Amino acid sequence: MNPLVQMSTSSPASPTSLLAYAQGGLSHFLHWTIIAALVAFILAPFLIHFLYKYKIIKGQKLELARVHNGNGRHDGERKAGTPTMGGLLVIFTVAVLTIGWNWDRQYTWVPIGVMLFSALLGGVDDLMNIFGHQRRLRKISHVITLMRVHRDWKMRLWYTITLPWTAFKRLAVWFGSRPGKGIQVHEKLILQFIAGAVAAWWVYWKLGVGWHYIMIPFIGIVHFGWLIIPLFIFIVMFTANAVNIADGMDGLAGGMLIITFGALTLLSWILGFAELAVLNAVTMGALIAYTYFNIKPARFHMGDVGSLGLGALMAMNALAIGSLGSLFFLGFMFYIEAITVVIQVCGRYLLGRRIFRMAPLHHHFELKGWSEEKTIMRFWIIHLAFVIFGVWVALH
Amino acid sequence: MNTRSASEKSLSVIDQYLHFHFDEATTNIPYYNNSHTAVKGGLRGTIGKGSPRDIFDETDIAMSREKISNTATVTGAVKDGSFVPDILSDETLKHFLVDNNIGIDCSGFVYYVLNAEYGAIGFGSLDRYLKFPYVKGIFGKLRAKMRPVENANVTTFASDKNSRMVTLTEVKPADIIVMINDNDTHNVMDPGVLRNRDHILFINHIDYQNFVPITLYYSHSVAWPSDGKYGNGVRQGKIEIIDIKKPLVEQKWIEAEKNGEPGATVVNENYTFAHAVKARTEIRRMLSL
Repeated sequence: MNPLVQMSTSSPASPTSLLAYAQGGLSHFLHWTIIAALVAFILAPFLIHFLYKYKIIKGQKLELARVHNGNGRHDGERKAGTPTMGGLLVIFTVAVLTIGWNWDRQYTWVPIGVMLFSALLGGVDDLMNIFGHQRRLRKISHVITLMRVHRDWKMRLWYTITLPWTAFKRLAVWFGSRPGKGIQVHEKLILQFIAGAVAAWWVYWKLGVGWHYIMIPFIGIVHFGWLIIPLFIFIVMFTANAVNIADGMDGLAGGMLIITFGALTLLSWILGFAELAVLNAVTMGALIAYTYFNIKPARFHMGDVGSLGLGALMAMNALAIGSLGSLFFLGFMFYIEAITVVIQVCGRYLLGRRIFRMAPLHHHFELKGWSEEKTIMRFWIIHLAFVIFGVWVALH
Repeated sequence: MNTRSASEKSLSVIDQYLHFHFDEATTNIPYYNNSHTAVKGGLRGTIGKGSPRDIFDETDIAMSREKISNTATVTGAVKDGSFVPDILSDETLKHFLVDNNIGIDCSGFVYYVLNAEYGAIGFGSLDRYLKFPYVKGIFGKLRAKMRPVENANVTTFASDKNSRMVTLTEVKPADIIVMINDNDTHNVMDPGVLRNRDHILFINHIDYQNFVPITLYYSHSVAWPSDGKYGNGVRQGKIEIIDIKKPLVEQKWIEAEKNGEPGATVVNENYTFAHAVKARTEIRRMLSL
């Protein structure tokens, strides 16, 4: 049976039982939020110690804050020594608590699996960026020459076999995927596509027809059938990258993720997805601890390990409760940030000029003279407003 | 003697390139040609095709990145334990622009000046009239349509589809002088040659005596070998008409206090003149003007 239908039939009928149902459910989910926050708070000092000890510190990213603190030191100088991969705190807490106490084949296997795969991808990228070597990319003409003249026949064969891949990589450079130390953009997108495809395949073939339905606000429940597969892939990829893009200021992504996962907890509970409500509540709890250490001045940054993992989890959980129609509002500022990047790239390549002073959007406002704190607070508030709207939309 | 000038709008654009203001500093916008780095799909301000506004925005963003003040407030950085304020002088600004590849090439400069001229006489923007005869293929034409300034080079302006040749007696303000290297196979180390490139100048004023032009004043973006790394950019010069019946390259060219003497050898201190002698130099007028 469609879970949405199942939910509606299991809802309490009388006002008294409704109140008891609400109190019980709320207490249960808050209980998991508190546990997750406590676990994460306990783990955080160990993680911080580990990150500083092993110098998990990226090279200085572009930090634009012009505001000076008391001794005239730039924010950028201070941020240069802050470690990354702090998102491990959330990923680890959520994974352990979910696998230990909320392991459900139908509802939590897939979100946790996709989250872990995306986090692994992000983690590898983070580590390669820190400890890796500059990657190089040969020109096609060079590879063709090597195919002919390399003294080792095995290498000549290898260059011949991998020629299409080399050509693809050269093509990717045209679209801005330049080799650095970490995973290149096109490689990341391919791996994310594979993650999304595996998740979509699992959902479509293994979890029953309940996952083939999506609730469209004001229309009702719509059967998507096999179309759910490309939809899943696209939404998971886009959302994961959107969170990744928004993670550019101390506390920005963390605060907005708390709001989004709070709303998802509420929606999962109201729509009758208890397992997903617990998963969202746990994530929210872990994010509270993370954001405590991430607000300015940050003790660590989220890193790709956290942003890609949590972005994928957010998309999966929203899709699982059938909130596709309201997903844009539930992740509003993340999507806006991602869209500004797309617009900026289009403006650059098609028109040769900047549409925004800088993308993503938070850097645009920073360059306009907003302080980091002002930008973050306003983004949180705008995000909260749209998430509330998204919850309202999801309930219609 | 009387003087005729191009429109106020185009003169204003020239002035913005000549006296580029940023904070309290002023400098001329340096010459930058993208063929050095061959950036594809770059921002106009950083590939030598930016309007004064584009260049200002790029400078602002680049300075923010470099944490140099553009607000004239007390900002700076801690160096050797003490706070060193940033002060932007004219020279610092010029160096900053050059070091960040922010500048304008000759055709980009003329594009924006002509664009202002078209606007001043009520024709709208230049890209409505400009044709790209040397752009091939569907994608090329689409690219030229979307990014006209990046695809408008000297040969585009010099094409018969966009301009027609005029004689020295017919010349008037807002005409252009093009220098085309038709059979240019020389190397760039040739001491008398500016560059192995085409070049274009915009005529902004003309002095007349008895309705006959006696001096042409031009503006262009240029880099002479003698300018060094930081001395190049948008500047102005003049051509004194010695004999109206003779071609342009047999007149007297004066720029940056360097003379291009008629009949001189190609080796000359005035590299604009030297280039004009070496190339096919024509005065042309845009068809729609």
